[in-house]
Amino acid sequence: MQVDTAKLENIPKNSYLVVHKDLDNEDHIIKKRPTTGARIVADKFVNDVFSYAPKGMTGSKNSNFYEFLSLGLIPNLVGSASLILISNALNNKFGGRDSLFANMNGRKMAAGVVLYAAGKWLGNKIINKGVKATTGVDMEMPYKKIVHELPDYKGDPDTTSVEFHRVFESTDFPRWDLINKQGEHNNNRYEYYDKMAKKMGYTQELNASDQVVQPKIKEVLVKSTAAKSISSFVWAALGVAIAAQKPFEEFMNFRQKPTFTQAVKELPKQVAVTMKESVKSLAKTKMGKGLMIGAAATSILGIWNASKNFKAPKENKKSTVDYNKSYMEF
Amino acid sequence: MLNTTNNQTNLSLTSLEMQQKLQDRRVFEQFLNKTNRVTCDKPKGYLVKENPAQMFGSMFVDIAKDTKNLGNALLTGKSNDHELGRMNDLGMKLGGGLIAAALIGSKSTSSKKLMEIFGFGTFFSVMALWPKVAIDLPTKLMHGFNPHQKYMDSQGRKKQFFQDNQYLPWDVWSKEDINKVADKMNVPKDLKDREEFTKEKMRTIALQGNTLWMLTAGFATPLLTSLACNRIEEGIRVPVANHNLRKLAADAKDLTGEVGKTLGNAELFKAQDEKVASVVQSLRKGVIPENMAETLGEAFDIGRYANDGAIRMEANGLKDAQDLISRLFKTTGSYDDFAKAIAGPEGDDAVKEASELLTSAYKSAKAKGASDSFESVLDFARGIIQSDPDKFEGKAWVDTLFEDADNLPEELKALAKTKAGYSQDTLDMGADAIERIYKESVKPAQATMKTFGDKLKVLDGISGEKYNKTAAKMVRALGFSDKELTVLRNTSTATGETLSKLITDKISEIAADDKKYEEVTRSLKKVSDSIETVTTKEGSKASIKGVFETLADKVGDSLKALGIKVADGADDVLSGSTLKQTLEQGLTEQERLAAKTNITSVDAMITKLRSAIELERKIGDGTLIKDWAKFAEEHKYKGDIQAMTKEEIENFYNMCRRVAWQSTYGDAVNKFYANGNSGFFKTLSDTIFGGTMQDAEIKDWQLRMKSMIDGEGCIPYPSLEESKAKNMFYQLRSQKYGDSLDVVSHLTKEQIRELEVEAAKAVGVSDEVFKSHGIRFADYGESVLNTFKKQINQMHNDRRWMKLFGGATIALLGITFISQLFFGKVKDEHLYQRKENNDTFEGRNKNVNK
Repeated sequence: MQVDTAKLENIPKNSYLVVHKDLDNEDHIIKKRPTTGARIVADKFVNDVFSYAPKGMTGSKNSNFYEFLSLGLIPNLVGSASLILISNALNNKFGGRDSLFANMNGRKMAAGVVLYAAGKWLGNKIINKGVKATTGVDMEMPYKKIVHELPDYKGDPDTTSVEFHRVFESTDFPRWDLINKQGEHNNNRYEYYDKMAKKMGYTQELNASDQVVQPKIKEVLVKSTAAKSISSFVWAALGVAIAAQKPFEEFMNFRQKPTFTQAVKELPKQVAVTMKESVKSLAKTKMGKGLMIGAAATSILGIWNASKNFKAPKENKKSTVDYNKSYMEF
Repeated sequence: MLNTTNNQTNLSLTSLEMQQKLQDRRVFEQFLNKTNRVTCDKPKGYLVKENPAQMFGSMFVDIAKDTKNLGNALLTGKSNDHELGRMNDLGMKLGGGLIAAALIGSKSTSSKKLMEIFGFGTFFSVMALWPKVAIDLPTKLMHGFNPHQKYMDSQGRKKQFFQDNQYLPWDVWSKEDINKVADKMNVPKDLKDREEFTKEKMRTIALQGNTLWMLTAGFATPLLTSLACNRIEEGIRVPVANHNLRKLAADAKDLTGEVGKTLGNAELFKAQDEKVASVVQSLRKGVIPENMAETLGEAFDIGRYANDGAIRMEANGLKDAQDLISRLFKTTGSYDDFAKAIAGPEGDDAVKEASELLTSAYKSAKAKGASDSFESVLDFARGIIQSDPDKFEGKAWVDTLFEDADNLPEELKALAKTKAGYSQDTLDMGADAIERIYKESVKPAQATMKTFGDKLKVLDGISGEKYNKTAAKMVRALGFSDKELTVLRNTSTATGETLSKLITDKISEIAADDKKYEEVTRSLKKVSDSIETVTTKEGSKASIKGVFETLADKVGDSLKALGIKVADGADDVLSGSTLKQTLEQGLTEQERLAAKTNITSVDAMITKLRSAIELERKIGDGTLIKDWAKFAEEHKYKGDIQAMTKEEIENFYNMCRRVAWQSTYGDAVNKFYANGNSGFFKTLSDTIFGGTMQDAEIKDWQLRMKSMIDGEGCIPYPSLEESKAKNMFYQLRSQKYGDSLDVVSHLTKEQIRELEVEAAKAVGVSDEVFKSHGIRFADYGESVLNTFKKQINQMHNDRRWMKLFGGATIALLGITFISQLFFGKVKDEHLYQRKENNDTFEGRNKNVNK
């Protein structure tokens, strides 16, 4: 392509070519705080409603796969709410005994929906945390992605949008570049890989730590993602089974409405007691025992399987060059 | 590059040299092309075109593939984003299956269990079908393509073509296919960029469809699932109940196997097995264990495993065990006989003191390691007395102990040679008897009762399912219109009076019209026939009642067959005990009836309604008032109908209605007896049920009710005290807990028992009256009025639910379909309007002109 340099000079200083040199306008890893996950979900939800859905419904060229996946949050939330609503909305209109029984079932359903989500979340979390503890690979490491869109109309000033991804969300293409960039900020491109190599058990500094670490990380990612896809749903099933237990049913069908202060004081304790009792009662059934063992086993085995191959070989092989062999240069 | 070379050669070389150079060059190029050429592989992707059957098939193939990939990923750590994404779906299905399996265990009836599986299946089916039906189908019809079109990529991974709006590998589409879609979309044929325009339109529509799917799925999946499951549950209830009834009928013929299974359940009998074993072991070692009767009492309770509510056994394990022990060992304590002999005529206190002394002497003998023979114990006892002479000062039995102990009867002295005061032979014999009775009689009897209880539970479930269906059919059979039902429902919450008046009106309307009466009677009979009986595999008929009778007979027979066999000459050790009684006579009539009445009889409910119509007919043609005159004279009541005012007659009719169908018998009997009007009530029931009757079936049923009320049947009259106690119970309950249903239905067994005891105390009767109230106040079915009340409420609630959520579903479908009519508007459409034979950019020109 021929570039008309004369024209290039005419581009104003704040055009995309220049602006992008500023780090804040490039993709970059963001610091993870306890609330970061929740903030990202909130961001996705707000954008779903006010940006992604309208964009999708108008057939915008700028709609991308990230937005489609983010929209997946809506059926999850709406579906849970609908499930609860269907079995609860009319209960008090049924009158007398019917209301009572409808409420019992409805609240059970609500507890089931909530504990399903909680179980699934927990199942994922356990493996994430476990793998991070054993290997140091943080699968939740978030980064901010700046997306440059096509203008919707001539002179559209709003052509950037922000997305929140995870560095390791793709096992095919993890964002090594961002890790490198973060290292460069600290004047060591291989900072992360060196750290990981140390974690793997290499005592000496490696010449090309990225070459050693990257495939290992990929392996951890694949194994733990596969394990999570099973384990999280076993945990979710366990959640539903717990919600179906008698103590939980009784808890959900509280008789008197507590005052606010009472609720704040008593609720955590009550929930803890109810959970304990429900787990106890679930443990009495074969299926319940099976679910508990299954959930624990899939988590533990998942973490073990993901991290078992991560360590460096015990004897560091020394590589030497065989000078008798010829080599070719192209 | 080629040009440059050519230019250079053109300058200095002759044409021949040039020819040669070119020749060389061609050879070199050919060499390069063959060896070092780097090109892309030809793409191997293609669009997946499957018919529904193939789609269904590839669903399973995909699951198998995903499972294989999962295993591979876990083992080798090698996979890709696409495969990993699919594993999530696999996990979701697995989780759904696990949830269904876990919830099956918590459901009591088989139709509910079945619904867990259907529910799980329906949920996933709806989730998969919703986009297909609500989005893909309309798009296919309107625009000629499937927005969820799948394609196989070059790596053999099946993906959705339109999944990523910004990555659409159009080369898997052929020109023909795109032009076909364009034709369907009515894209003008002479457009130069016809294909590009169509692709852009397709992209837009697919993106809009995907977004709409995400926005609607959350509503659609739960809504359609619950609507579908409501239908499915409605549909499977009666077939499942019938299936269970058939199975139960087959099982009931031979219970031996089932009882054997229960008997083999080691877990069930573990605790009591251990108790009996500990007693027997200890007896064989020569020690009579403490609290032997209490320990055995629990193990000897035959009613123990009969399910609560389904069947009550009037057995008393503790008393039986006490009887058995006292007969086996002729006493209940180890040193009691000796204490009695020593104390002589001095009285109970002396016996107690002596017994205590001997026991503590025995303990200290053991503690000091001395011989625990009777003589030795006696020596220790003497020692204790001598160490504290003041305590035993002036007690005649102490003298006997010191002086005449040797003169005790030989028989006792012989027994006294053993440690516990009994010969080892006696203890062994007792241990044998206990072991044998427990193993051969008690345990099998318990297993039988447990099996019976379990079967009754199933039967109860079947009855419940049929009850609901019958009640709905009953309301329909009376011919209530939807409008009337709404009125009834609204009044039922206001006052019971109005509701009963409305139903009475309906019933009397039917009774007054011969044609309607015939019609309703026929349809009710049909309901009764179709509901109550099923045809078994062998072609015979089985009914709930029939199966119950068979079960009860079989259980009675097997109890009788067990009997009690102890060692020869010891067979009377249990004479008069409830254990022996039960084993000899099987189930008592009372127990049978209690169990039977706990299983709501469906046909009784219908007969009751028919009886109510019959009563209205009797009121209508004046037979009732004539009957009253007749019976009143017999019972010496004033039956002067001439003297009754119109209002009094109407009141009298209403009273009859209340007894006959507006309340239950239990309530009616209770009310009249509590008020001391038992004689009057007898006359009244004679009038209602004893008069002229045409329908043999109803007559039979009414006679049964009458005998119940007259106390000739199995359910005796409640005594005045019992009625009062029961009323007091309700009073106390409402004082203490209020009348809120929410609270009352949550009362624990202990709380109820506490109230019962308190109520019995308040009216000054034994609290035993409450123990059997389940039997005494039981009734055949519930009152017609109550059935209607419940059923009408149910129908109303169903309709109300359906109105809201059915309406919501229709609205959702409407929005989904209608919004798709506006899909496919391409932005800057004018840019694609260049015509085939006209190179000018129409759109651009327009823009420029602006």
